[in-house]
Amino acid sequence: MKNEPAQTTDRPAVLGLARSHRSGCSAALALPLLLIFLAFIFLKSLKSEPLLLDVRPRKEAGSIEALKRELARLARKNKKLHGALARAGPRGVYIVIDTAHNRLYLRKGVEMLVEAPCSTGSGRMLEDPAHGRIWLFDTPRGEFKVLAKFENPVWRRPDWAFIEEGEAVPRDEKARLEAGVLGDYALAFASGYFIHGTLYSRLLGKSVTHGCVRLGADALERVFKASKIGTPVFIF
Amino acid sequence: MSRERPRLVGSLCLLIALFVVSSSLLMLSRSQESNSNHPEPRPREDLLREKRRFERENQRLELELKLARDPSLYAVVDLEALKLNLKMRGVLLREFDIQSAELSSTAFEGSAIWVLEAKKASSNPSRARTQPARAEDRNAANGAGPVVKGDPFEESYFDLADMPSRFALAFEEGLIIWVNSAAGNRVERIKSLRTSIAYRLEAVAFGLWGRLKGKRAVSVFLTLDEDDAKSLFWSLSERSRVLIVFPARAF
Repeated sequence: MKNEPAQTTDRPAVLGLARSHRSGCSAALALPLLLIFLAFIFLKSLKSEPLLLDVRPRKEAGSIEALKRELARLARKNKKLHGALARAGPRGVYIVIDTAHNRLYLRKGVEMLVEAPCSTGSGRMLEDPAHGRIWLFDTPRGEFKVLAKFENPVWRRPDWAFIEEGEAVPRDEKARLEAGVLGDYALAFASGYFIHGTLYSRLLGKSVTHGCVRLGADALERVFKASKIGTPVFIF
Repeated sequence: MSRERPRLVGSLCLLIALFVVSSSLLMLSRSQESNSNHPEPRPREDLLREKRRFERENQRLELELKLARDPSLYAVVDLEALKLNLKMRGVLLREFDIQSAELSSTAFEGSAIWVLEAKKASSNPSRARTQPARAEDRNAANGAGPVVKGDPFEESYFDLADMPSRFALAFEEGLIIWVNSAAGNRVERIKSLRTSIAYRLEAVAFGLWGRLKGKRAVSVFLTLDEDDAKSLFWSLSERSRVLIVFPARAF
């Protein structure tokens, strides 16, 4: 009986000790673990922003190769498009006429062969008082081609040339022909329109013509010799 | 209590030590992680930027190729590079520097072809009429008397100088390009400022009108050199096609 209470009294003591020891141990373990967890969360939250940015490429690491392939495809397409655009333009010599500034350029690719002042359409209007016909003296704009080349050209005066001078339009075709007024050369680029020489070189650089393009003698010779039938003429 | 205190202190020390160790381990792992990850996004971003650039350029080239297939003049207005090019068949005929460009809206992106509907200026140039020579003038010229009628083309002709340097280019689908010329002297500066204010007011009205009609209405304000502005007015005609390259949005 004696032992029993002793046993009973010891047990709680042992148990109490054991309990308190266990709870201290668990607190000592739990608290650091909790703190580690909190520290982990804290640090994780600190780097949550960069992690979002950093993780993304990592997740799509495989797509970088796909991106590179896509880039290579786009680069090939780009090269192809540049090539197609270059092929859309003229291959050899071509003539460019700037009607705003009355300048003519003979080019080959990006190389400038001739640059000279010219005269282009005056933009004036003429009305035939007898028949009411109206002429606009504009140089046509757009893409043309050299259709024909003439040396020592003879001008066949159109109706407007007579009307402008207050003369009657002749019935005889020979009465229309006039030599020596178009210079040494003429290049036809559209129906009735020529690049030719001029007697009025002082008016080069001005918009004074009836639609043809007048050029100085030297430049005309160089343009005439460099171009051939089919040479593109760009007028703007 | 005296037996428990060292335990408590020990636990606290252990706790602090564990905290320090775990924190430093985590920091180390983080720095390693960040070191290993940082070089990756940079090339990826570069690749994406390059991809975007190619896509934009290819789109522009495809559209320009369409224009270059036709034998007519077209303009390329690059609001990103601030260049305005007149072209035909892909050949650069004339290049203008855009001195400044502003957009009323970012409704448009990339490149698009627009058809010019109308050129509007406060004073549109008009054609001069050539008066046929009178019989008496002709007789005087042919006879001994003095020549009465001079060279008609020396008197006046339709020239670049007659072109306006401040005008609006109205396109289909709700786009207007307001062209103002860069000011030279004081009078021109005042004119330029006046035009600029007027254009902005008109642009606001245009935008409101567009909203009322439920359509897009975007204004582009360009400032060009005076000669360039006149040349542009001269060269572009109604129905001319213009390829506009809008600035890229940040991505």
